[in-house]
Amino acid sequence: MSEQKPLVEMKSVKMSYRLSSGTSVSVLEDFNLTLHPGEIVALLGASGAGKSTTLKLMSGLLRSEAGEIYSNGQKLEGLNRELSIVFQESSLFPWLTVAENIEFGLFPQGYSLRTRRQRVSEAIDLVGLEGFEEAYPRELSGGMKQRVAIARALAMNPKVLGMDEPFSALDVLTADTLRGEVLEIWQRKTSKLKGILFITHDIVEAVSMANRIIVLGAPPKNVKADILNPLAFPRDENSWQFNQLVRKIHSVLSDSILGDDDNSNAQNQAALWVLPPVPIADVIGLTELLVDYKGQLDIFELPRLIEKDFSEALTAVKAAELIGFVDTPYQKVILTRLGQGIAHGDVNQRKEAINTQLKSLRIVKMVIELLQNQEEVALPYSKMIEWLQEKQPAVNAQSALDTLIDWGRYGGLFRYNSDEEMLSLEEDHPTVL
Amino acid sequence: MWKRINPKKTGFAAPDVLAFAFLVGGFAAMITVARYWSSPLQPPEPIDLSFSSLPYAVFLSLSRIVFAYIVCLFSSIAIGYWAAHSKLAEKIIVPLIDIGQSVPALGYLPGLVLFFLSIFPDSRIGLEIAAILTLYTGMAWNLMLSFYSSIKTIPREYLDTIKAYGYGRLGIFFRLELPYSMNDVIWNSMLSVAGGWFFLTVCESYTFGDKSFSLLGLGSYMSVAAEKGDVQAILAGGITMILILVLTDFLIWKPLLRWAERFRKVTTSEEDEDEPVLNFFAKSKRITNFIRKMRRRYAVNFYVNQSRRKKTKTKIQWVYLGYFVFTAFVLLSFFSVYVGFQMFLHISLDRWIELLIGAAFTLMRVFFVLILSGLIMVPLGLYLGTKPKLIKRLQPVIQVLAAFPAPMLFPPLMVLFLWFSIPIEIGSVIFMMTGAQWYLLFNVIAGAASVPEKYVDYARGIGMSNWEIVRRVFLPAAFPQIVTGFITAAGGAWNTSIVAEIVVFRKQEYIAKGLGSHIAIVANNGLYSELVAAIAVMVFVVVMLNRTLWAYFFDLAETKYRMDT
Repeated sequence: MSEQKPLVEMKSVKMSYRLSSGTSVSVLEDFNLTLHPGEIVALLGASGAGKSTTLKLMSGLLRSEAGEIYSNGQKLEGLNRELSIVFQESSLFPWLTVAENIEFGLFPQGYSLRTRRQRVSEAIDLVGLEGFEEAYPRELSGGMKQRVAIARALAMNPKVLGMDEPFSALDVLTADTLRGEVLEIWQRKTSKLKGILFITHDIVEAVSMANRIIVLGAPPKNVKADILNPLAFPRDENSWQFNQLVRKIHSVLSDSILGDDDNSNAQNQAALWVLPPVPIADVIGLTELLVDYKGQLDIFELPRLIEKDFSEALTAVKAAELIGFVDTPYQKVILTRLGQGIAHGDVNQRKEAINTQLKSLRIVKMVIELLQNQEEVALPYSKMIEWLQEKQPAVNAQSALDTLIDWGRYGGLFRYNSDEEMLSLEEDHPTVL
Repeated sequence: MWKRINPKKTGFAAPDVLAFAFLVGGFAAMITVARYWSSPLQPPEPIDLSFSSLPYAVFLSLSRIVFAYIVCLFSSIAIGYWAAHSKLAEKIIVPLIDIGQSVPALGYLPGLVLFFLSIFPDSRIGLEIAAILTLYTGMAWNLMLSFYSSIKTIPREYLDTIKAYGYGRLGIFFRLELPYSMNDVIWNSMLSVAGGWFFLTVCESYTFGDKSFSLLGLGSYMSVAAEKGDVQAILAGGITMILILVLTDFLIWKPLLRWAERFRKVTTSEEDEDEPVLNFFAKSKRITNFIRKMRRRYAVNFYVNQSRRKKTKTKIQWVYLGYFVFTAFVLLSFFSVYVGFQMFLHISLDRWIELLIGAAFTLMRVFFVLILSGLIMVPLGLYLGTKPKLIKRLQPVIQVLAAFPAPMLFPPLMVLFLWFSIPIEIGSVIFMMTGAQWYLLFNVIAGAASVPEKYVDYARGIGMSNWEIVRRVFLPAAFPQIVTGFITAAGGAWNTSIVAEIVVFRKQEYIAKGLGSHIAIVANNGLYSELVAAIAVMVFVVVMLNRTLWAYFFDLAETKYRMDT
């Protein structure tokens, strides 16, 4: 197997995207990834880590700014005919029936009517959609729609199937069934299909399906980890090996998001600049949750308890850590004394505590300074964005400012009028209400 | 969803007969129209008010509407497409549509008539083309704008999907952009055609200077009937108009809208009703088979990926074409500004002052129209909006009333005004209302219907009175739609002012001082530079109002009163 040419190969690829404000944010830098025949690769990572970008680059929907992409040893120019994508949200056309939707991708290839019909019926057979050929997407449940989307991609007879969070919009049971079905199709090996690459937020999903798991993160080093999964199918989610692998990926992911202790200095410097995009109410909710668990939680337990995916849960933890409500030694979340006070306090005590904590953050200090040294009482939102961009060009200024306003309003530091889009300092102390 | 009926393999059904009858009829119709068009211009045919002449008049009017609509549909799609795909074109076309919308369609008429008469001095073709293009200017804008914005709002996933499967430009157009915008296009077509009937009454007969022209048709029939005060003919014309509206609604719009429902992304929970006309056609195996066959056969060649062809060369040519059009446009606008100023220099100061005073009068009338329509239609709309069952029953009636061309209502209203001796200065406000109020009513109904029930329940729960609920819940919650209603109503009022401020009834002219009557009078007297000046003033006032007053409210509706919680 390994003697064969790689299905897709990305060599020192560089990619960045432009924000609406005009600044560009780098997503991939000197990025290398190879997909070999026989592999099911899962791409994991926080949102914005470049997972979808990677898939789009491989399919030829996006062109890289630098570096090369090869498909079957040939340099990719234009679309990748060997790779077929199942998109995140059901992108079925509502005006076409199931059969017509599946047939959709075959037209540009110039196939004859007979070939098209045959391919459609094969694909329908493969995903078990018999009897639904004439149905319109709106008549189908979410799981059925996603089956159509998979059938549409398979009808192209691709060597590689790319899936962008294929099961994230489905309920737990349906997602589980579909995962099983995809693996079944894979193991049948009747088609040309040689490799699968899928994006997911769900670590358990990655471990249960993939035989190689790649954790992506922010540049400069995009690939945080590249882990082989040797477990044999069918995989038992309760087995010791399975859980060990899940733990391992958890810790890689949390390191890449929270930052481990070695390089915390540099990371914290950046953290002082960017508040994690988490509503302050979630941070307070986290302290209350921790009280219920005696002030201490395993970080991997958290996503299930707050019904969020792992990277979202970690972002909330990071936010709570930033204003000193929790500590995160060795994959644990521990409530600090301050955090306990928050959890038990009433609204005004909370506001006061958050007020003091916020004032110790560097970015908040700078904003206060900026607003105080201003002749006008208030500054427009757009000015604030400009200012933030000037100070820290690499961050998404809008999301940073929105979080800042959310936290600052709660802490009684800032006033923000969304009609006039003006930010100003709160004159009085926060305890009035 | 209508019932899907699989056509039987054999047999000859009534729909087949009808389909062939359509073909033969269509051919005969074309010959008739061609004969009328090529008939000599002089001497002008007198308009016969006998009932027996009505069918031929209706037929000719319909042919104009159909022609104008076809031109309008294709050009709207072409222009909307261009604006959506070229940044440069977008920058020119969108503001142009905005201005084009604010020019009253009748403002285009004199220029068009003179131009085409000079090309076809001996036959009716010139007049017909001028009339059709005038109709076009009353129809095209909303269609262009809706197609353009439909394309712009196509979700990212759809575009990614279709591109990932290797569709070229043509494939994307036919298999994504057109289906995606189908619903909007049909709705706006309905509005456009209603707008067409409105202007038809005016563009079929008019006077420039010492020449008067008329084309046989329902519009000219109505104006002659009004001029002579022939009550019987007025009634006959009015009833015919209602019949046409009801029939087109039943035979064309209803089935089309039902068919287009499949193109909607979100489906309403409305229960499905049978659509008799659509079912009737679904039964015709020849038609359905023919369509299916064509689709299967030609689809392949049609969508074959174009990215395989050499792209770069054609792309460069397109860019050059874009620059060429852009330069041509800039030069043309400089030229027209220059010509315009040359014309304006010939107008004396007195006339300018008169023009501006007229504009002030009409502006006042427009505001009265808005206040009066607001007082009537906002409460009515709010009431109807909360009674979905009642709306369903009343909908056909309201729709026909709204589509009924306002100028055809003037003669009967004029009888009332004379009876109660209401001066035309006030009467014209009521005329203008007939061309404006419906936009407001429809939007208010839609707004009131979209107010979430939880708001009303809450308000009831804390013991608000009905009046308070209207004031504190319905008015703010329906604010965006109410604003849209007022904006479109204002546009309708300006447009109607040209026909509303000057009315000929029983051989007598009733003139209300204003910009609308000013435009009509200078056009009738052949004072072209003054006509251009008057239209320029109207466009200026309307665009200014749009950019300041209405933009302010619109902004408020988009931000503060937006409901997305």
